[in-house]
Amino acid sequence: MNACRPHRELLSALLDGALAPAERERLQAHLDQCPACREALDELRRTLDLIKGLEPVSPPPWLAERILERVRDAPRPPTALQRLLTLAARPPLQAASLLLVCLAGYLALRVSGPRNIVAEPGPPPAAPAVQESFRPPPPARPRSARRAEPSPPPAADAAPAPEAKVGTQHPAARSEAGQDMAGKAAGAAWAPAPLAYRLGPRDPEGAGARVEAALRGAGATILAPPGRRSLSARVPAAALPALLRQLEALGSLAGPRPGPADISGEDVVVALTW
Amino acid sequence: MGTFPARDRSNDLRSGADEESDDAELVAACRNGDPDAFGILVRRHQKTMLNLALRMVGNFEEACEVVQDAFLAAHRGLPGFRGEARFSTWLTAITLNQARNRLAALASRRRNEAFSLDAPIETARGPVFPDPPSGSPGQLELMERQALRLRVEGCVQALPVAFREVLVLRDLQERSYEEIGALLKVREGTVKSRLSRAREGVKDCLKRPPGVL
Repeated sequence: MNACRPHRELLSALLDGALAPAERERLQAHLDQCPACREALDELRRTLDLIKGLEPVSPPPWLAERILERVRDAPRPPTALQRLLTLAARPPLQAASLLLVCLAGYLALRVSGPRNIVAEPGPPPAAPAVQESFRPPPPARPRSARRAEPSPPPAADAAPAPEAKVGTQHPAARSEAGQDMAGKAAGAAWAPAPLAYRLGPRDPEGAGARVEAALRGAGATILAPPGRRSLSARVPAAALPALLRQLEALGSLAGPRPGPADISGEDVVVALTW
Repeated sequence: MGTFPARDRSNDLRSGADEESDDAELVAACRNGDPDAFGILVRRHQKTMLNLALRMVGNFEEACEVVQDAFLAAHRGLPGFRGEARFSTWLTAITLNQARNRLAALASRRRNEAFSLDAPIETARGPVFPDPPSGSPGQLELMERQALRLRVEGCVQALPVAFREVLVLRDLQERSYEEIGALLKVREGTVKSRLSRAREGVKDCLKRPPGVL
């Protein structure tokens, strides 16, 4: 049987007529004298007949239509030029995206950085805004703080004050304010412009605590959590002179000194940095 | 960018060389945006591809899916088809690839499915439900032929994929050794030896009781 093995491996090729003439002659010579190999060849031939007898199936009528439907529904393949452009455009696009992300991050950090002044328009005072008559000069403050400040509507009887431009408002908000002003009487409620002060404390380390203590002593309401070197507070108008004296005792204080006649409301908003 | 002549070329009687050049023309027309050209190619080659897929995956429905996927992949790949091989050879390679993928997916699905005792027996022509035989001679002969066919199909299906594809390509699709070698990226000697082992494998299978050889 082992002697037959190399010949058996050639039987398949013999049936296909795929043997070289010399190889075929050698195999034929072996088959002439080996009944077992002749029997194996016969079985292989019948096997092949059975395999080739497997009838082909016909495609169902819907198959071609289904294929073409799927081809139609499939997204169009990109042309060679499109592929090339995509490849060529990829690095610049990636670089541009990275740059954009970095820029957005930088801007976000700048905008939400250390808040020097937390100036939120508090509940409107009962009295109308009177601060226009003693508007303080705008202190040098970060842009973010300036943007956050509410600006008072210009007084109808006063010349436009320069600081009215400092507090920028969204156009929609301005328009709303205009309508509000038109619809209300002179005593309408408006958030007062904060009185901005800059304190040069003799003891910078303990300045924060002392300022807070002075404000609380004056019955002020701190409007937002104080920053490291800034805060804003609503102060009863009557307590303002005493508060300013206390602050002056802490160091040099730059800012407006409104007299009692300048204040007609019950509260004023004080923005303080040091 | 002219449209390909509308007559049904898929049923024309042509020599292999004619069909080859005709396929090349159709492929060029497809690439130039002719919407009808690919339809002609589909109708011309779907039967060959379906039978190839059927003998590879052993199930008619699955084979139809394989053929759809293969033509879809071919359409997607047409812009990159350089015409170094014949279109039919290229399409056959794609179909074989899709069939292998489908077999792998089916094998994975079967591993995760519980075995059912009363499920129908899957064959190449669909599920078979046992039916009591009729007493008429015509029916008996028909059943014997059907049993033999099922047996041969089962033996072909039992071959490992690497041997089955050579056997299907040679004995059912009548491809040359050279083309099979090119399709499977193996040498002709390897094709010969795989084919010999595949045929011997089917022969041994058919000799097992109840033997039909």
